Amino acid sequence: MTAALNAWNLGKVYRLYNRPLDSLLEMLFRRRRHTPFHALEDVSFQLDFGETLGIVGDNGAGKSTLLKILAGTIEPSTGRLEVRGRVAAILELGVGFHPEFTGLENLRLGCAMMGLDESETEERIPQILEFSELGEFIHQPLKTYSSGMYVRLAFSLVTSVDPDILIIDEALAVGDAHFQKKCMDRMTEFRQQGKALLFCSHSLYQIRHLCDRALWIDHGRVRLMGPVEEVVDAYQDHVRRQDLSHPAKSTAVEPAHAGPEEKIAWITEVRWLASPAGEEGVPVFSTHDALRLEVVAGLGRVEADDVHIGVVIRRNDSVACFGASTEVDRVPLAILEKGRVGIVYEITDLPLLSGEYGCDIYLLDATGVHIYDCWPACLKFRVRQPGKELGMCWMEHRWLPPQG
Amino acid sequence: MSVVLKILFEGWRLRWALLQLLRRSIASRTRGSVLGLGWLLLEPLFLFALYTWVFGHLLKVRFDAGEGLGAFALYLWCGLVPYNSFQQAVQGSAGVLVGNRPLLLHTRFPGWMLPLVEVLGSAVNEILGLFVLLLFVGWEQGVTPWMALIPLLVLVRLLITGGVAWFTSILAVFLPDFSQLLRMLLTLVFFATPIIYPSKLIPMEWKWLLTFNPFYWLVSGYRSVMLEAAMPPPGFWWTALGGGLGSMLGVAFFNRALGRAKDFL
Repeated sequence: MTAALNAWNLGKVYRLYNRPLDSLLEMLFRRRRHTPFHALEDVSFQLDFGETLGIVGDNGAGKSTLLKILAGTIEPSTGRLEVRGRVAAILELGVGFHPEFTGLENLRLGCAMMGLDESETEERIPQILEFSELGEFIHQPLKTYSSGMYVRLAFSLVTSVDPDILIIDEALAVGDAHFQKKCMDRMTEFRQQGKALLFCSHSLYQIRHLCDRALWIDHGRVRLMGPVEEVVDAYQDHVRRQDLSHPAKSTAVEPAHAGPEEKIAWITEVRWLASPAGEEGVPVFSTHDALRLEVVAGLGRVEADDVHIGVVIRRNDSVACFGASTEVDRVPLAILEKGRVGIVYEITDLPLLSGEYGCDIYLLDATGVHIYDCWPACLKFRVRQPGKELGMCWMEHRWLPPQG
Repeated sequence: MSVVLKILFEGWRLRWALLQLLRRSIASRTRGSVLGLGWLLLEPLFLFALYTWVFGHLLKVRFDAGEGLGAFALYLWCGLVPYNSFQQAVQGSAGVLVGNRPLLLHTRFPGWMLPLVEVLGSAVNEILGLFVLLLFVGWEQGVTPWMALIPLLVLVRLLITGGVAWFTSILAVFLPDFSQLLRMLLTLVFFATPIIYPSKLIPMEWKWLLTFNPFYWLVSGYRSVMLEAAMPPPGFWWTALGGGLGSMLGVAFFNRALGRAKDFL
């Protein structure tokens, strides 16, 4: 594999001035008038073609600075960057669109900025318009756009100019479910075409599914880099530790809640199968019981093989005990009548100990990244354990005589 | 010198973007109005009529003894057209960095193009104005071979304007009061240059100042070529050279200071 992007010891020092004029005087007279601020220090990595690199880190850790350097909008203060091919980037919801220009004028300018000439631009514009689904809005000034429309235009432009390296920063959090799904499909397509992707998101779930490797930036430095599972796990531990000290801040993944008319696929029914009698309408299981539930979903504009179901069991303090999906386990859903699919989820030997639990049901796409629909904490249940063990779950164990 | 090569290379690579911005800048000034391109002429024509009436008719100012009002009007228009275009470009460039914040902060757009778009946009007004002038002069005095120098006149005017515009756009970011100051400076330059009055009205002891006023030489060049069927004076050629150096200096300064200016947008 060849490197699409090579970074050696990248660093960025922002200079803080009391007033703008000081910066100009400093340039002219070479006398220092600023206090330095190190936003990024000593970041080195390599990104190969056909590879997707995720970037995680707390707010203000230097992620955006790094992405801006990689996209070429700011110069690094130290270090060296080598880029092979055309780079397209959506940074913090901005691709340099001008609010006074119409959508179409912005597209033409954007294409020209990527080095396309007039005939190449006009050739691509119909495809971009089609992907963006903006219709007549394309002739309105950009300042009248909603943030969802803005992102649609940005994503359509950036992915239509045939970039070799694509940088996406948080942008997909806005936009409706239908468009998010289209974006995910296009990004997956990009990977298969052997292009290099850099992806930055607060959704660790998306990072885990989309990326091969990940880079964790902490206080402007590389804290950890490696296979995505390893880095995201470590980062998740770090976020949990922080949540303990700042309990107000929630980092849970919030799926998009779209109205039914926007949904591509939706959950129609979730129910227990043969559940034991309960208290207050909540079934009570015993540890080692079997647990079975059924999920049925309706399909809109999507094929049955592009839909998967995920179930996450959480304790009432929102600790996730176990999550599994038909996507991870590679199980196809059963096709029912009238565009509906369904599946039964069974835990044969429930290991949970006493407590209150609930199931989050997710409807996912074939990549497992996009969430069509989510019913959080929809099936509640309690567990009573026969014994006096402590903790959350039963672990198989035995006691042996000393090995002396 | 290397900065010139750099902007020529970059300018060629992004020529479609430049064209797009230029088109858009001209369209935004005329879009939706009944007169369209006519608006680009209307404001200078209004000033022209006003000055002709006040200075030519009421105050009886003449550039040469024994001339009529018509000759005064031609001399006036000849100075007003390049100066107005200069003023428009410089005033426009003062707001150009703040006005294109998203382009500068979110793309690798070469910032030096933004003042240039203002400068090239002002050439459209100028060419329209010169066309009107040419119609009148051709009607009154006939066409002379010297008029082949008109593109050169416009080029020199653009070079001077470019140098000033590149400095202006940067200074406007760093100095909060610069826009107000700029308006005063432009008025001062207008009245310090013999545009609405002949240079012979300037007292002897102040005449030496004219030698250092590039606009004096620029306007003299326009008048020589358009009205007097003569070679522009030597001072015009020095001004052309100065304009070339000035715009190189301007773009070099701009490119060095732009990174710093971005911090304050």
